[in-house]
Amino acid sequence: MRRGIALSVLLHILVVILTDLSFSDFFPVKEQVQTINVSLVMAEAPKKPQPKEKTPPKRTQQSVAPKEPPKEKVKPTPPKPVQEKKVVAQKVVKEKPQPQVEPPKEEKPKTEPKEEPDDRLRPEKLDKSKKKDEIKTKEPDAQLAETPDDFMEALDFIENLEKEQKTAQAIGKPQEDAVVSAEEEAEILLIKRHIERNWYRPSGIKDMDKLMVRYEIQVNRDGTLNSLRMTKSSGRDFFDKSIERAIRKAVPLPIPGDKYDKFKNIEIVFEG
Amino acid sequence: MIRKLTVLLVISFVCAAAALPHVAEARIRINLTDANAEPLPIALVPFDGDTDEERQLGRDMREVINTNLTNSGLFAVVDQKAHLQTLESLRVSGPLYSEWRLINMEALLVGNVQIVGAGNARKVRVEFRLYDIYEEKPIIGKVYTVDMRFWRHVAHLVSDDIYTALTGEGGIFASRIVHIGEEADANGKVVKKLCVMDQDGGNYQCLTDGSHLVLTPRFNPQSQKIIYMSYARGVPRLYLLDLPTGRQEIVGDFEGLNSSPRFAPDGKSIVMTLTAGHEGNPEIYSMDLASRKLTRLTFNAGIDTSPSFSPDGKQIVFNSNRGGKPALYIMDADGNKVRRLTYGDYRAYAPEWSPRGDLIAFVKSSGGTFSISVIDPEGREQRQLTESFMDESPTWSPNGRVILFARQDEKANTMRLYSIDLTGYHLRQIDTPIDASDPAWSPLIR
Repeated sequence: MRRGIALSVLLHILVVILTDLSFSDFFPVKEQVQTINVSLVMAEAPKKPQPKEKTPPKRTQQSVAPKEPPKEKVKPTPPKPVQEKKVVAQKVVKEKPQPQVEPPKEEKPKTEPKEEPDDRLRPEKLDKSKKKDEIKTKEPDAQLAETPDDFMEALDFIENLEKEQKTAQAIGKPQEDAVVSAEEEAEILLIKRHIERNWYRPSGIKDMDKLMVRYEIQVNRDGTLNSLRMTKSSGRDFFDKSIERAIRKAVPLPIPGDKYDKFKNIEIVFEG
Repeated sequence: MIRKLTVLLVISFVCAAAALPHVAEARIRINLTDANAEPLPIALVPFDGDTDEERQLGRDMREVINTNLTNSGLFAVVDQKAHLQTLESLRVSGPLYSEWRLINMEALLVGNVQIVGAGNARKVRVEFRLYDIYEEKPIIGKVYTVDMRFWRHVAHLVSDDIYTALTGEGGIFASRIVHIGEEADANGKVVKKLCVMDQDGGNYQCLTDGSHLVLTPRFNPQSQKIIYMSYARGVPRLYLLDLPTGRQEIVGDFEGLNSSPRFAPDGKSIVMTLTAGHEGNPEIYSMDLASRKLTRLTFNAGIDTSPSFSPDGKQIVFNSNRGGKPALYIMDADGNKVRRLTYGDYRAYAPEWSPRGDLIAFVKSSGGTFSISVIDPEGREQRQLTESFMDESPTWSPNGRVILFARQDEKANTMRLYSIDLTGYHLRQIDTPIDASDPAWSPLIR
């Protein structure tokens, strides 16, 4: 009995250590610090900001349209951070901020209407509490490793562990974006614009804010496509194909040559 | 013991393996937001033919298609002078995609016209292909054979085929617009006639002579039949007119009929506003066309009028002042579950539910002006599309993307038809020989 508990505890500790670490913790990359010489110059006396020219307020669609008093906007309660056991805890996953209705752009006199995103129809990936519950309930299997039938349970436990990893990975995606540097963000934006420039579709499609499409592509070093596949369809063939077409037309994509490993797998999504 | 060791081994192996994905599966994510806002560049080659007459017909058809696609605002039809590949080259080799790519075309229309038969029974056989310049293959190809008098209709059908193939949206061009034409007669008195035309203004004709007042024509969503009001003998009378045949029947005399009889989506019943004598205020009624049986739908002391069905026939949006001022309300088709749709500091009239179901167009009145607005059926967002002195009578295109309405010019005191996209873009005037008001857009003609 005691040995079993000791073994179990040992295993738990082992798992905790291994899941909390990554290789980068073992081989920390030294940040190259570049020094740039800066000479300080006396700043000029600050000019008084010119009063903005009073252009007659442009009566845009947005400004003229009076806002309706919101009718029953049921915002889903943000998923409460569940108290998980250490086994599951990765890094604390940051909540993706609820998408806001974008303010009208200055340049376009009449912007495309942006409807309030219907939170109720948002994909479950933002509702993380479900997955965590799932993970929570599977844990007790770990303690069963000591009984005679432990092999099958152990296999189950392993399977669940893998699943946890995968879902934690999926949940952790916003976290991956956070890992991207400012320079890489600009490079991603370049690719994004490249594809969007080739994307022809009519405006004002019905319920466009509820559509979701996902593609996964692999690119070669020269920016050509190695593979493309759709992982989520909007349910509208024409819409899905219009994005696929845009991706194919945008090739060769402007992949930064020195970061091929990071850029070789790209997920392209449209989310309303 | 061995078993436990195996388990330990396997678990620790998996744990080690589980640590690896941190490094391997990092993936860049791109969130597409804006598409190319430019209209799609397309080249239209005039339809080919063996005789001069056929080639002239080919050029005429090209012009109809050109006007349709350009007016939609979604296409940029390139000037024929910019075409690099000649008609002869097309005849011999088919499309040379590189030459069309050089002028940045996305799509190419090619076709031919053949006149068959003789005399009055002449028919025209039109065959066309739409090519994808980028993928270098045809997108669609069709053949239409019709009586030669209907060549324009074929051009509209081809326009719809192109439109749907390149946008994924329902068609719009093979349709008619019925409206009230107004002009001053010899004595300077304004007469109102029932007039009909193709959506591009072609084939314009007036069906009544103006001797009786005619109002509010509306299409049956299932056919090319219209229902309209006429004060034939001083009492409002409802007529059913079949446009293709011209046959007309009287639905009935309705004393106290206010206006706007509208069809249910299945075309079997109509809803209308009646001020039944004993009640004294306008209420909405439904009438089964076969049995002529009336069913009352609203029971409110205020004014209830302008009913319009949702495309699934389950709900009706209407105008009521039961809340203190004219606003839009939605109820079930049987009159139950009334809920208010529009709030805010304005009056709302003349609602029209889009055939797509996602929007309701209406006339918004505030500050003394009347403009066209749209609102979603849940009432979450209202958008004003036009800004003018007096815009009224919105009606939707068959694909629910374009709104047609009547605009009264303040200074010139004329009444004209205009169309605008649901996005608020592409406002344009529809050409009519005389003033026009109260439009209704037909379903697609097949």
